[in-house]
Amino acid sequence: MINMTRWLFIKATALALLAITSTHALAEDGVLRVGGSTTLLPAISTAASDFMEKYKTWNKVAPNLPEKPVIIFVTGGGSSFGVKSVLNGTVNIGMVSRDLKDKEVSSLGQHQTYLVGKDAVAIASSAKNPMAATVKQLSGDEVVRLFAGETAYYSELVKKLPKREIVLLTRDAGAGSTEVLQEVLMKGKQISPKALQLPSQGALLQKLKNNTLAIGYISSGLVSQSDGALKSYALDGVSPSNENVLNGTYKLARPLNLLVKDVPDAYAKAFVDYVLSDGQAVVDSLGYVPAKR
Amino acid sequence: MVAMTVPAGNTSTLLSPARVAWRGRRWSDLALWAVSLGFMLLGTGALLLIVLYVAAEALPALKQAGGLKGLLFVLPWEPLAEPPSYGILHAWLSSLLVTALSLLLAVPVALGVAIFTSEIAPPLLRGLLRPCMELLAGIPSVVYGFFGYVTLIPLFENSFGLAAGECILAAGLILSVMVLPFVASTATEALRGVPGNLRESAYATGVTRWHVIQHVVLRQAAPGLFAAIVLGLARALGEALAVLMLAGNATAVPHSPMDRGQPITALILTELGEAGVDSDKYHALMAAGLLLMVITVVINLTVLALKRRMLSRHV
Repeated sequence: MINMTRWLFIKATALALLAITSTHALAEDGVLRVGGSTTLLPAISTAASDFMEKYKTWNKVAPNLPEKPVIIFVTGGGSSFGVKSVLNGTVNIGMVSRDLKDKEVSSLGQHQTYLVGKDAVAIASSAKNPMAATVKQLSGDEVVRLFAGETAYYSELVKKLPKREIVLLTRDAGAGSTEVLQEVLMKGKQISPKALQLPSQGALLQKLKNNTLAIGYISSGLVSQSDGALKSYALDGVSPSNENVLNGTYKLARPLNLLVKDVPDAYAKAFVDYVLSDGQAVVDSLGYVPAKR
Repeated sequence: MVAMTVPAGNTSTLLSPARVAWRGRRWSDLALWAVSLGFMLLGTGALLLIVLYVAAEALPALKQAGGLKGLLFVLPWEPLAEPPSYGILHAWLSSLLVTALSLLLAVPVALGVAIFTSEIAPPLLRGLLRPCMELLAGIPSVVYGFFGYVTLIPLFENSFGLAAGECILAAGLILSVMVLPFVASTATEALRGVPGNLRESAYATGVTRWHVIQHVVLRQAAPGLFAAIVLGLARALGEALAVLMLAGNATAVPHSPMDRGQPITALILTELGEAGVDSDKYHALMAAGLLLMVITVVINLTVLALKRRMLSRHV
């Protein structure tokens, strides 16, 4: 799969070079360009290579489309870059892992967003954590105090628990999950400087499994994929289940959107439909909550 | 004219071919001169350019509240705060702590290894030890880091009761293992460089082997030994991956070896990917990089001065 993605990038780069020399309008050569959020990047680029492998040429997607090879070019750059690129036409589909800002909505004019899934951040620990057996839920306030380092020991959280240090795991400041936690719960407060910063979600997952005193925040799907090694905590009584995330009652979540300006052309529409059907399995496997099941 | 003064036998062998080849040699000499000068300028120029670039990019970091003092001593590292603050006290303290710890652990052992290899080991064993050390020095740091991550961290957590095994001490320990072969092999080189006749004449006076090592070999090899330590120091200070994995990568200011920390290299590695060019964070990271260079230079100069003083006293 990784090789496939890499191949896609190489092919895409070559085509991007070609595109500079040709003056054809977008998508006329059978190329679909997608760009934006790095959170969505792995899901969409995997879906794109699956799509290309499945159909090869556009007329196999739908008989009324021309017989041109399916080429989908997926790049990162961040959500804001995704919106900007849709606006100036460098991409056909933007990946935006947040709600659109009012200013963006007004400058886009007519546009379409498609919710492909949600990235829910679960507060989680090892199933062997001292509080895993007794604590079922944390209040928003408790989570804030926990991550701000104000609650330093398990005994300060619940009296009966042992006086062992709470080891906080965080991602670096640029990570999407940190952004969600910061915006929704922490607001102005800073995550404790004593927290261990891990370079990737995978590293955080491993540390969370191996260190029974650790608490961290991680994509909710990864907790359910851990076969019981991890336990997630309900927030203000709401568990990070797929239902709660999708209907919006679980607060620590952000939407994963695909954005198209005006009305999507046939190519874009076909790919978006694919992401919303077969592509949902990819979204799920990466630990996000799929929008459709 | 010159040929007259030279003994007759030499004229044919020395002067005539030289004269014949002079024209050609002048051009090849000139070319060599130009090419080597060019490469020298390229090398030092690139180095100078990097230093200047980092310095220029670091300068805007002083514009944040608190200036130089704020950057180095007062402000915390809080990139998500409102307004964000970029102090690097925790980083340079972590760097110094980790480096000091690793050298404290590695240098005595390395000197012992060097003395054994150079002075005590039989030739066959010596022939085996030296390539081993050089091989160890060539192992990539990420391997050491990974080894430490899967062995030291669980050991610290399970046996020493630490909540999280990542700490300055863990990073220092692994770093000392990484630095050891460097210091040991360079020190061995230095000891082997001591002329054999010095050793032999010392032995001839009937003193013990330890006396010879202590008063003749070590003293004579002192400059080389200092070079070995400086090499180890540079390696320890510049190491990024292993300390990133083991020090905890936490932005708290460390107070003891059991605390978590984030050495300068780890700070840059963690944050640079997300720092937009020309942002405040970017400049702060450049300042951290500049500080690392300054620390290296200052420590090198100190060691150099120390070496001079010691040598002038002994010799």
